[in-house]
Amino acid sequence: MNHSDTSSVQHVAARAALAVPGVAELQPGLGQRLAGAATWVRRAVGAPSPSSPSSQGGVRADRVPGSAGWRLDVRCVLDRDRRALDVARDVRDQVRAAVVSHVSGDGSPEPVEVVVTVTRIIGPPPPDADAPAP
Amino acid sequence: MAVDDARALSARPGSDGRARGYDPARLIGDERLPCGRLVGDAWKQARAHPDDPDPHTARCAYCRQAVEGLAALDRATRTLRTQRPSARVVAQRVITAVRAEARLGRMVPLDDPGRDLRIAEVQAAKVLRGAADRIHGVRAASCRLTLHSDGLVVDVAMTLAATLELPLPERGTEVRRAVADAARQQLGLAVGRIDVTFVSILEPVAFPAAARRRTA
Repeated sequence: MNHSDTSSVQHVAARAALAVPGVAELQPGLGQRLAGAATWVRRAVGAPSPSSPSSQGGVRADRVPGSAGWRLDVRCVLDRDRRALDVARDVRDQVRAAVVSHVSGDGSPEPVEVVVTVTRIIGPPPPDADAPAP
Repeated sequence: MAVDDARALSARPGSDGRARGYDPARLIGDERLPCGRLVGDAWKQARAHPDDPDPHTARCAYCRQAVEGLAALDRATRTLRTQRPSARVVAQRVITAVRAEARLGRMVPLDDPGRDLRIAEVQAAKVLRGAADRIHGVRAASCRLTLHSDGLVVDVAMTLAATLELPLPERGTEVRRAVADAARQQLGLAVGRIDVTFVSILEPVAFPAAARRRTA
């Protein structure tokens, strides 16, 4: 049994996802964006903020109910130069490997389920088929 | 709760004493989450039963995220009742966050047997429209994706405007081929039917390639 906390799991997952070629950035979910607004309010009123969401933005991690495993949702913004499916597969595999290693430690491996969502694709579109050669 | 209290976030109350423009619960309540539920409904359910979420919320990541975020905001709003910094900015940040989420729309699956990879329909449709736009004399007007019952294959329905330099059936074939290629090579979507409907005529001079690239 290990005691990895949600924040550290999110951080490890975000780092692994951002290392995949073709991932431009991670896109925070609604909860994280709203919490970000609340964090800003806390700063505005001089109240302490529990944590910065910036290091884990775009990754949600939950314990699977009734099990020792984790479920992660990773929301990615991709560059256009790689096929979305290939990048998403790499993100899933890399995040799963990194989080399994992190949460298992010296104990028994914990199951990790990773869902990858492509929220945006950025970069210039391919050239027109009938465009003149440069 | 405090988020529902318009006075807590109102910089300038209206004549009825309540906020007119910056009540987040009112402004975001009709925004729809990707799961199909209204943000306002998810919040009402959570507010009514804070320790006993309804079955949908219990298994829906979108609703849980929305409720957690609003709960965090609610706590901060309670603090603001005595401090009252710029209510306009706070409300605008909340509205911006919710609208950014709503703009994603539905999710469609990428072609992977694990079924845990997906893409926002809006983004997939944008790539497919771009494939049609790159055909000389064609411009995509709309693109809708419909998921098969198997949960993996999507049908594409596209409306187009085109010049009449070539017969429309040939144009349709060309568009379907380009859309299929883009779905496979740029996205990795499993596409079933590709239906195209020409809904208007373009003047041949209106869309030279350079102009289309500028407007893409």
